[in-house]
Amino acid sequence: MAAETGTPTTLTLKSNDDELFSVAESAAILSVTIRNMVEDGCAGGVIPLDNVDGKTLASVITYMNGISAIPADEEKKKSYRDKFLSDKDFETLADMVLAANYLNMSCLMDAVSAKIAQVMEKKSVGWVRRKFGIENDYTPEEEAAVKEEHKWTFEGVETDDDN
Amino acid sequence: MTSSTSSSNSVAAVNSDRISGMQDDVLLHILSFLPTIMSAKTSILSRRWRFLWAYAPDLIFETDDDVDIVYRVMLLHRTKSINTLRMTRCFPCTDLQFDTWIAYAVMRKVRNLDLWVEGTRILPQCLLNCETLVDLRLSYCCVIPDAGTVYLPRLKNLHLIEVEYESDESLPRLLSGCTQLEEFVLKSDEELLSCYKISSPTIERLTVHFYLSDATSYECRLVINTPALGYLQICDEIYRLARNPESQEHTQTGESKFFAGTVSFPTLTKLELDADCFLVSQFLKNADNLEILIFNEVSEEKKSYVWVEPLQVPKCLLSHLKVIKFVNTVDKMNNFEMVKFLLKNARVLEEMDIIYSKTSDTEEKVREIVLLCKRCRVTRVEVVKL
Repeated sequence: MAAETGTPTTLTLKSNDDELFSVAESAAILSVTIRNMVEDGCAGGVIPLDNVDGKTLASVITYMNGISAIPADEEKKKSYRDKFLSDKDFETLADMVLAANYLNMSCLMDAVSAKIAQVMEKKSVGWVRRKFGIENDYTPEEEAAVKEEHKWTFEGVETDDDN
Repeated sequence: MTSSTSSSNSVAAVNSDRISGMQDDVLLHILSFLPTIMSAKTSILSRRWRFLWAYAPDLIFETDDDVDIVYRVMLLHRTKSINTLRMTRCFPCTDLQFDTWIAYAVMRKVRNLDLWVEGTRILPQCLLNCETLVDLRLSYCCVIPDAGTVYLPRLKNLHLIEVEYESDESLPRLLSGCTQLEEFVLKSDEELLSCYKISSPTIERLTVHFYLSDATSYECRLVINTPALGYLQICDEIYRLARNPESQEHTQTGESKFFAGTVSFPTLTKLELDADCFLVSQFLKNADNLEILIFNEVSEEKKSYVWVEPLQVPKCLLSHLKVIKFVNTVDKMNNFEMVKFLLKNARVLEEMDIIYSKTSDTEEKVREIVLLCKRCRVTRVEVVKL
């Protein structure tokens, strides 16, 4: 454990495209991955985050700073998260869920996953395949069979729109 | 830690298939936020996805789902344990279906149960003795029994939203079996019990909402005995309170029927009021260690501005109150007697924060308060105009 000092400690994080970011330790330890490094005394120099690019890391740090500035009030935290994610497109959300998973940040992971689920909900099969980069490897017969088997799930409206 | 070299050369390649390369556990996490019927629909995407949904740890059913689908999902689901079972918006079911689904959830070691189903029925014993349950939310659909054992050793959050009770004994019996409970939310809008007894050594956060009509002659007692409490929110039209909750940090009251006469908050340090001035002196005289007092914006129908000056200056003003904050309340506050009283008697006041929206009327009042603060030697006065 770091010795207790009066001044807040700052950590330096490095993205996989070599961008450096300064962030207060108190905000950064929202990430269990980073917290473990700090607790193990590995956070003295630069912390390399090999699975997160600079653009995503900048966004994650904005979130870390924003959410840690809010006192223990779940409703306010929730509305911050909603606002933070409201203008993010699917690709950004996908990057963020991967980053949140790698950084082990459960609150961000949940919020982004919920947002992705919300976006997916009314979308067509084609849209989801495209956005998730899924190759349809069913034969036409197999696909027809699976579709028949899951007839009970095919109800309601769906759309190809990106919005 | 030795600094490792970054792998920027492979970034572009990683980016192109980062989404299709998502691990199953990330995909399952996303799927667990979808209503289960939508999650099952992803079978059609590709071979990899065919059975993926059946491993998603959360089961979420919505009103327009066919009840047969619940059985189908439960049959096809492949995990040994489920994280969440949620049935929302008055999900239609019979007694037998309800019991079957609950038994399924309990057998699958459910952790979170969130139920709003059609009809009301007594909670089954297996649910009240579910050792894995961490979060239980029941809305509009259940009757809490007053007999039988309750053993919920892992339950941390309990929400009872307009449920029914077999008798006054139901609630204490239920709570006595929740040995690790941290948060309890109770909402009631009917004249159900003569006494709501909330007694727990572990509850840290307590929210009690009563929505009762003004016209009723119904009287009920709310007895709170929660020594570990750190947060209390009461929104009510209650007529009597008894027994002393021992330690609070945060109290909020809504409407003006709240009668705090027999209550004391000896360790209360922060008080936020969304209520009219009438309550202020009630609280001040019962909270000797109050340090922070916040007046939040009050809706039109809740304000009455009856300030009753206490006969004695409350102890907290003489020795503890350091911060007073008005959030959008100055422009509406036409009763300056209270402000004057607080400023005159708060001997150790250090900070006064005023947040207000711009109207010329308000400017005048804010100036007046700031002037008063100066006269009373308040060290920090912060005025924020929105």
